[in-house]
Amino acid sequence: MKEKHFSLGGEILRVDLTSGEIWTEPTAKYSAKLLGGRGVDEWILYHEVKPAVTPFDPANRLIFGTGVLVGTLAPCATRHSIEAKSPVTGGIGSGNSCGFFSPELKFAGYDHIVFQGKSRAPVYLWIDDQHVEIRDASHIWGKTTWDTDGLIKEDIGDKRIQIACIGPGGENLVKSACIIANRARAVGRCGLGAVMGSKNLKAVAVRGSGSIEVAHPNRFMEEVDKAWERVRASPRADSLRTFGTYGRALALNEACLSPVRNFQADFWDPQKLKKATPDFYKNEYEVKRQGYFACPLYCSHVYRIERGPYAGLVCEGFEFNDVWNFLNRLDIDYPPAVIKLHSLCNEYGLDQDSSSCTIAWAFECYQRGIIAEKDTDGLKLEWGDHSVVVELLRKMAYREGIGEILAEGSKRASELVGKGSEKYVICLKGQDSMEAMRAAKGWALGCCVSPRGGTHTRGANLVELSHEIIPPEVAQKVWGIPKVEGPLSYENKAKLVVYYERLQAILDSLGVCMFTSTWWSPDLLGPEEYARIYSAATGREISGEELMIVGERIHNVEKAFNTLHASFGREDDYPPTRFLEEPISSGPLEGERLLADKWGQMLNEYYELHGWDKETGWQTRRCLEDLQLGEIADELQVTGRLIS
Amino acid sequence: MCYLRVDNEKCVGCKTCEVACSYHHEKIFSPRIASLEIRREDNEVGVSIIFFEHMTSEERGKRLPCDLCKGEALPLCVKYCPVEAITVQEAGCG
Repeated sequence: MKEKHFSLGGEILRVDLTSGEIWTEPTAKYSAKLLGGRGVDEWILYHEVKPAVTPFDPANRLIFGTGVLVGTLAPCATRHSIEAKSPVTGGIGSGNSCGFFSPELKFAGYDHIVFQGKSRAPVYLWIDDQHVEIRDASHIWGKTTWDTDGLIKEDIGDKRIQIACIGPGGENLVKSACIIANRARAVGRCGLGAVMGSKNLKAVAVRGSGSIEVAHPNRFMEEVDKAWERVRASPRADSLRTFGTYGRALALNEACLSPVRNFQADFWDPQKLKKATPDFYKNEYEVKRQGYFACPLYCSHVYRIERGPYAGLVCEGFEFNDVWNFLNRLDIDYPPAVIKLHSLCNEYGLDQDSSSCTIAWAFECYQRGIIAEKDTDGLKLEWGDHSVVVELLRKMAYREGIGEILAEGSKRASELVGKGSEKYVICLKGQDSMEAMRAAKGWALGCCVSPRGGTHTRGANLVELSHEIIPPEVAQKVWGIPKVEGPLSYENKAKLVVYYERLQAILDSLGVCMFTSTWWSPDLLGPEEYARIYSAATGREISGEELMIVGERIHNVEKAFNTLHASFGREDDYPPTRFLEEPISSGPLEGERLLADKWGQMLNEYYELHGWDKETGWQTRRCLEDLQLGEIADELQVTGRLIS
Repeated sequence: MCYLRVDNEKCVGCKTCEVACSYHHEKIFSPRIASLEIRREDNEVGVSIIFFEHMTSEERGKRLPCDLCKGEALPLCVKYCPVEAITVQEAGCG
């Protein structure tokens, strides 16, 4: 008889794609120490994938995780995490997305799926509650994610099943390949779609008809009610409902955080931005707002283009990132292009951030005469030409012509191109980096130290941008600092980064959206609120402080994976050279850049807060033992990458 | 007498009502037992809120009929809907 575990599906599904063997193990084995979602995924990855295993080796694992609160009424508990060894960085590959996939998997009774091995022919996994089957996908291989979604639903004969799949990008092992659910929700970074493609796994489809039970239903609902009220009442949450994540476009441009022409500028021409305001998209293109499972934010919008070269396109809306990616980064002065390029990336299964960054690098190489039409299949890579970007995305997805080089990401591409093109690569730990950093020091630190190779969804903070409205007592209470300094200050930023690294590890492991948390706005939910919801759900009493220690533990597992697999150290936590050497070229903060010595001091403070070694950036035995990770300390010691 | 009015135009398709409904019936979270279902197709703008009484017997499956959340101050689908797509109406009030 199945043992009862509160707030869990109960089982981890194991699939060996080489042998076809399928089995399960209880989730409870891991959940006390690592919660669920990303925490458990990374723990399994750390223990089962050793440094000699390469990312496309069948021995690499591809692990899907739901989250402890997924499937319940906790606000926005609808996210899934996916982890594997990354083919981009060689270290931790980790990503997170929303959609209906995660709750459906949990209702089928599974908290995680661990894939190992490699199928001989293309397959997809079909989970129908307790019935799990590996099915032929030869008729779907080669199809876009949108077609795949439709074909599998047709195969199963049920339009309401949930699917996570790869497109041509993943099949062709493109380094920026992602995994798409609900046609538009991407686990984007780190090349996880390529790992899925390397296993000949086209999709995971699931139908779940079970239930989730919590330990203390009345108490749980009291906490859930309070949380819903907080999320409903927050003015910043309201901006998400109205404009999606794009609501702060104008303010962020004024703050010089809009990358332009591969970071040759961080401030976009206001005349161009004026044509692409949040209001403009809302009035001109929005046809519907939508939300995913139990989501009071419903930040996703559906857009329709009725005129111009992209007329007829209907798709789920873009995020703020995409405007950075496909308007200002490439200096495209045509607002509907972002909707088109966003949807193309989703169809091909390409991460929009990495893809646009690699393309921006190629555009700059073209601008500087490093590459010419003979290298680009005759295309003129001129800033602002969105039709060229349409073509380049297709070439990347199918590795055709110049796409073969771009499919490797800008770091590897620059090694292939040479001729000084390396100078224009903007990468963190080998992965294309999409964020402007010169004008926000804490944000920059969070991006640069992120174990998954950049991105603002680990420790990067937003509060420094609204520092003036945060009272000192709130700063003291929440982050333990006397006041939140503005974005140009280096002071106390390490504390903010460490705080958000811990919080983000918790959110990803509970399966809840970061936009319900103090990451987005200080009036939203913090560790104390999540701890109360978690305790009522699982029956395992925990305080906010203790929960943050679990967050620190999860972050340390990631860090150790990177040290063992990719030998990352202090030098890998520095920003791209351009941000240190070239000041911002225009806009209100013209002249601003990151300063190496101040960066070094901020980094020292950051390592100290984690209890890591300042000189190397490596972990210490003491810090790992305090987190009950002594076995990881032993393993690091054998490799000589642990400070005693 | 009360009844529920739905507004499919307002509905954002989040299925919160389904999971709230299941909680009322069994104190568990399980959309498949809910008295209503949100039917939403990817990339299609239309969303429909379908109640138990309008389902075929096959569609009902394990679902439980709506009792307007007897014992609750407000039906939970109404309480949790983020966009007021489901509201309580009194008969005769228009």
